[in-house]
Amino acid sequence: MNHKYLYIAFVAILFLSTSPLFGQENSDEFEPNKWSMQLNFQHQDLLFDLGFGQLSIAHDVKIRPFYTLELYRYKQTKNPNRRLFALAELGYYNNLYHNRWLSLKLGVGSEYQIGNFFISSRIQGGLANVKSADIQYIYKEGKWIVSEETRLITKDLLISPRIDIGYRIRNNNHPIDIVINYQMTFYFSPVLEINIPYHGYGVGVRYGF
Amino acid sequence: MKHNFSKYFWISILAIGLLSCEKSFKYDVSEIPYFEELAPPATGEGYQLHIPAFPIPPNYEREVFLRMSIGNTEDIYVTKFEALCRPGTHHLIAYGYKNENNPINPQVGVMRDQNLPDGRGNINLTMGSGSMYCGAQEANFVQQFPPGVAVKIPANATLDMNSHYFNLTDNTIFGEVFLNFETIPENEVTELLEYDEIDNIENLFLPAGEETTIEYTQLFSEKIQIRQMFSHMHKRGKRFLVYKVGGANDGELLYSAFDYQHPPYMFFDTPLVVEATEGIKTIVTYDNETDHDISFGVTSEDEMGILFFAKIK
Repeated sequence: MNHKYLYIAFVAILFLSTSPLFGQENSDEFEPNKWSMQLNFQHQDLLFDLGFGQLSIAHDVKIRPFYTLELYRYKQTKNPNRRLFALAELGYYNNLYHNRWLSLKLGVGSEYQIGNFFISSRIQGGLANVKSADIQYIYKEGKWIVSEETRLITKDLLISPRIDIGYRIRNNNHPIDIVINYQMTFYFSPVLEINIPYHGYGVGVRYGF
Repeated sequence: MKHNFSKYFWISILAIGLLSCEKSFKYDVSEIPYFEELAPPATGEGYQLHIPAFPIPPNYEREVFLRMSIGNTEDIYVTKFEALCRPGTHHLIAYGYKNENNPINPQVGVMRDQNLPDGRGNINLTMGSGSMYCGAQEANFVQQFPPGVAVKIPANATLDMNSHYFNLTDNTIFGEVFLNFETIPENEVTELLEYDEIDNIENLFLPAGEETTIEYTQLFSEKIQIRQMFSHMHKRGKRFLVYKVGGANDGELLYSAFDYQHPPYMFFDTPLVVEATEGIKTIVTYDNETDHDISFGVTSEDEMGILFFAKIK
């Protein structure tokens, strides 16, 4: 996939979602909920390809899953189509052979409704407890065996802008939305010489209450 | 219908998570072929480091790092390095550590891979931060310095042993490395050497399907005296020439190599003097016969153009 078009779309949506002219076609069909919870799944990977061209690939990793559980609190604005939100996100990322992390992020954003659709943008920041996941070996009883306890653990800073586009599939006091999203994560490690950003595409389900 | 879709969707997501398990290189010790080991130096005359046999899967390459303790409680002066590696080795390098106590240093005895099973480089890898003590590019390697000439290794040093193997066969092969350090007493040392390098990494870009020559010049800000040179390139490197820049011998050909697997180790009986503001130029010719561009990298499919040299301390 050509990432250039994704970036253009990402920037354009961020711009549009902050424009007061966007989303003027209001729908009053449901009462906005004040809280919601979202379960999200992303395939998240490094922004740049780090394939150095070695002879072959022993394990072609297709999915690098990033699971998040997100709690939202909304505040309605004067524009009935727009609401602001604050969120807390608990995440687990399994970047096979590279690192695994447990992250906690806080963020703010805004959401526009267009009929049963909505679009939101946010900025999130937080900390991750990162454990390197490159396989390491120690020599024990005449053989090289995998060592878990020698892997480096660091506390790293994450800053993530994200956009979500959703569709309401159930509209009542406890609405349910399905969501697709795209996120970039700027990653700051005190150890790594190179901090390459991540990006991810995801889907989720949001439940309002 | 919606309900079933949702159920299967989340089951799939859960399966993706559970199936995301790493695969380590498994092997049976009984499959390791016999290999005549290198005898260590006599007690009091040196030390030996040994990386026991490790597997290299078929059509795969492994570049491993292993931080090891030499066991010297005092400074040692190495006048002879002798390496013995199982067949298939590309290089063996022993790096020192500038700061032995840096918290990001790997633990002693932990083997780390440069190339990961998913085909990517290991960005978590930290390697020996100090200068190189020994670089061997052949399975049987001997570096014997003249009497009184030695490389100093500080007391209680750890070395990051870096071994790179290619396996172009359809069967698992095994890497294994012995490195002997033969020492002389401090009072016999007349000259200390340390290794440095000139790397054309900044200019190294090889367009697809072309023969490319990369020139790189390094000027020195202070006088140095060079005792030894050897080159390092990968399989698309065809010719490695080194010239003097400046001074009375400006333009003199100092070194040439035409085989990336067996580059000569040139020792200057009379030290090569490079005055301040003078320099060294490397001219390396590559043949990129592939359909894709190639640049600097650590694997067999990437390229390098490094001149290692030993200078008098």
